[in-house]
Amino acid sequence: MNNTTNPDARIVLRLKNGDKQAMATLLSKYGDALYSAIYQIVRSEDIAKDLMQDAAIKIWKNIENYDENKGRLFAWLLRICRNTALDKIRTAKFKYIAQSKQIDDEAVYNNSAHSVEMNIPDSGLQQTIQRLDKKYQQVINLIYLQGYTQQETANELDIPLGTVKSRVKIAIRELRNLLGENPLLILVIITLLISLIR
Amino acid sequence: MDIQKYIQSGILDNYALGLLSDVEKKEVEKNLIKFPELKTELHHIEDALAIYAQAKAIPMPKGLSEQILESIENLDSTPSNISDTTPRNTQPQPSKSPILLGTLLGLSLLGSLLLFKQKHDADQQLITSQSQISDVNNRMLTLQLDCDAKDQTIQRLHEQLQVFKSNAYQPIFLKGTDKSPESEAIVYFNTLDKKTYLDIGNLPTTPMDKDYQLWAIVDGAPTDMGVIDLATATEGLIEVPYMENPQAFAVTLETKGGNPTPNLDELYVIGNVES
Repeated sequence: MNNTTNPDARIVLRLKNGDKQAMATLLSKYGDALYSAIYQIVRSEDIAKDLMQDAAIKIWKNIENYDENKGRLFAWLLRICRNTALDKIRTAKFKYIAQSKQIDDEAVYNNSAHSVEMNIPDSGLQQTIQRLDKKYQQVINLIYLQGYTQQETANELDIPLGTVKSRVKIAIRELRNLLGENPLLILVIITLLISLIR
Repeated sequence: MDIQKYIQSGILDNYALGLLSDVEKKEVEKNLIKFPELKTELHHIEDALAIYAQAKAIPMPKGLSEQILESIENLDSTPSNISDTTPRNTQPQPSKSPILLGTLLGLSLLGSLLLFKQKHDADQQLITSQSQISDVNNRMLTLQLDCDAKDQTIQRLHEQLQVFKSNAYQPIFLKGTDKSPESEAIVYFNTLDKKTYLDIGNLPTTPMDKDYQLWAIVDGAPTDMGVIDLATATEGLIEVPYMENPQAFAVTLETKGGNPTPNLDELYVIGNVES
């Protein structure tokens, strides 16, 4: 028996039934977080917008492949967005554009320090997240949001691979401690708040 | 399988962060189906990360959402536009010989049957090979997990050794109160690298519904330093958040998950920072 209910069961069902309105619900719930992940990787609003569109179409076309048994919907969505953006920055054209400075320079070369601010009208939650030590935020940002490998993270932060591995473990433990035993409840509250202000 | 050990190996954390190889991922996915406790644990990890991602999010540029919905709206019409043009070029010629056509059809059916049989045999072989590969993979994963766990232990011990070797760490001895006079714990405090470690010493085990919580007294007020994860803490030092200018550290017994303010009736150990 699974004792954590799936908060996205309904939206998944609607998407699988080809309900285009469900896509609007999905975007209002997760759009900002997914767009941010893409933006953090490519550091250009124009490119991020195109990629977000590509990723959304992939999500729409491949929703049949989402398997609830393998994890939460958001994890699957983020993977698609992250991979779409990572594929892009590996292309020669992107590297060329990055070199010719159409991309936010400072951000590309200093991305672990670059912090993007939130849009959630819950300063309490933001404060809670900020209580997570910066060094743990760094590893989550790089690995989870920007798709770095542990080795790439070690190189970026100039710390040993072993330290990255232990920081990953502590980061998640600390994050869970900060958010308490039932993050699902917070997710539901965030969703409610977002839908209220839209 | 020892579920707790599996969880503590951190493999679910790595799964949620997308750090596993395909083989490891498949193995975790199999286990998620077999052991519902793992799925629950994974959901807790994924939910925490999702909240993190949402709290860190910047808003989508104006109009992007509508643009996306519009392009999805137009998706379905695209394929039919293509099919409108294709038949014109490939219009089939009217059949000249129905007998020839019938023969060809028969032959192609026979060929299909033969191919189908061959494919079926090959599939059977593939299934056998796959199950053998899966067995080997299982054994490798067990070894890998074992190695990773040892690797992490060595890493942790190494970090702890640095704490003991370094002069930068000031040990603060937390003495037992009347509640638990025998108890002792030590906080190692490093203002240089801004790091703090805790050795839970000989604190008694907690009841199932309780957790120990560490506090720093800053400007005379207790500041939460988090619930102590006994599973990790019993293996040695644990790293805890760093606080500026603490006057003292204390450990209290709190309801599971910790409390915003300490329950002073359940104060177990306390120790002042010498300035």
